[in-house]
Amino acid sequence: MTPTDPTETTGGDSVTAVVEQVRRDLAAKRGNGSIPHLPEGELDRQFSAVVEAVDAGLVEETPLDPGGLRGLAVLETWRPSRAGIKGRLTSPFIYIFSRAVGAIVRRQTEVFARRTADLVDQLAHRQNRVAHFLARAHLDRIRSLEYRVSELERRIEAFQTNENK
Amino acid sequence: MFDQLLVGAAPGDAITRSALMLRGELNEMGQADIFSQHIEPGMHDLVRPLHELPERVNHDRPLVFHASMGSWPVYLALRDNEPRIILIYHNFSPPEYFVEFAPEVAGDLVRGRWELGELSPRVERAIADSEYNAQELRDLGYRHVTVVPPTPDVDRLNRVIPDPAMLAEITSWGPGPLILCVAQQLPHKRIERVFAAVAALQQEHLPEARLAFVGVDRFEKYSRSLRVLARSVGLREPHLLGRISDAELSALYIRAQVFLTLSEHEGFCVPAVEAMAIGTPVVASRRAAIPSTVGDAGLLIDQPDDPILVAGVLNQVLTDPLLHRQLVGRGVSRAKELSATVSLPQLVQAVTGPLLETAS
Repeated sequence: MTPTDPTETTGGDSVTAVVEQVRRDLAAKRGNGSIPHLPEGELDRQFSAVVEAVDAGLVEETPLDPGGLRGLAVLETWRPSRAGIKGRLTSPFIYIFSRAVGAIVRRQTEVFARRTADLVDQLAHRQNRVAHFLARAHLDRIRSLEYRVSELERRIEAFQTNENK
Repeated sequence: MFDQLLVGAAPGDAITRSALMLRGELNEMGQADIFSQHIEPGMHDLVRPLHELPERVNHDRPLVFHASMGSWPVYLALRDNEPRIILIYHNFSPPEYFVEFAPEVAGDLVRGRWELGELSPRVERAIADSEYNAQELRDLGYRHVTVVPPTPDVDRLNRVIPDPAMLAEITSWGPGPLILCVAQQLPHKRIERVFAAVAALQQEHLPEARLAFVGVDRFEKYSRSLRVLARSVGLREPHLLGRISDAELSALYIRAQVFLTLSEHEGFCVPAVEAMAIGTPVVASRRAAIPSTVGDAGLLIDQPDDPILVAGVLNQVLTDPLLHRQLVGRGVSRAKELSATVSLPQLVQAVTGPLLETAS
């Protein structure tokens, strides 16, 4: 910290002088350009932009998660009921037939099902990235517009002051 | 004895606690009831509903009305049933902060001030719990206002055993210093300032610093915006906790190295007093009644909108052991000054004592 007596302006209280000392140090750093100046009302502008973006539904949407689709690509073999005498007698033969049909259907649909799941996966990934990008762009846009408005207000004030002179 | 009326009664609410403490004293002089329009779960055994107000037993005595929010049903009940009122003004939040997030609340707050003005001819005594609040009443036309400090139960959290599970959880957050903020998620509390300041602290000074924020979610839009802001300012690993028990809160206060509030508007600021009582240094905005509550026991910041300035002050408290100890010592003694053991007898006297001053 800068070696100055911080109690000069705070009536000698070393505790309350801390804030004054930090303020002086910060002003010095901002003066020599090591820390950027904070435009007045910048935090308000940023938060207002965030509120706008939340209001517009551009952020805070739950990202799409297609993780569960891959499991659906593997079809279960149908298993016949074993209830009753008839079921116990016929189910082993039907089950063999079912497994055979299942193997054929799986072979025929597997490529299509996996490709579909992959595509949905990629689409969800792109959608999430687009949503994120749009949210950032929207926030930046609002912030830059608000900054321009405040700059214009300042220029109008300066202009009015000059007019009055 | 004297009955009391609240707009809302909720467990943990400072005004409800104050009303219950006052009733504890008034009950020694005779039966005293508390009525409320909104009664949250857990309070139904302690508070009677507003519609029972016309049947109150102590109708010959003025009703003690705790004003903290506008309410049309409460205003009508007072207008139609209560010719004599003792007003305890706990402050109304500024309506402009609610326009964006809850216009209906902003309307209640605007109308609440009008209601207070309309009720002033019936108010026999006006009591404000800070000079700041007294000035607001004067601005509403009340001529004589008695200032009685609030009655916070400052040792409430010192009497509970800190929750071991919460202590273990805090340990799991890492070795970095813990900054604690306790505030309802209301727009005028300016919680976004806290998020931005702690993010700046992490980025400029102490990457290991962590924020624990305890606050009940009141308006979804504001809460969602806060969560998004936390991400956009780069706040790392904030611990956002909703309603928690006193034992959990006690654990947080004990482990926190700093209590931070950057609120724009406070009628008193009970969490800052609780922090001081438990020995946690307070860093706060120099706004509304916060300076009169904290006194010289905390670090007050004139420009709470500057996150880098607040981060610098936090860094000083966290890295200067002497300053830290000074703030702890001053805080504990300031909390003792504000204790209900001092202020509750004053409040009882102001409510029950002879009529010295007439409001309005």
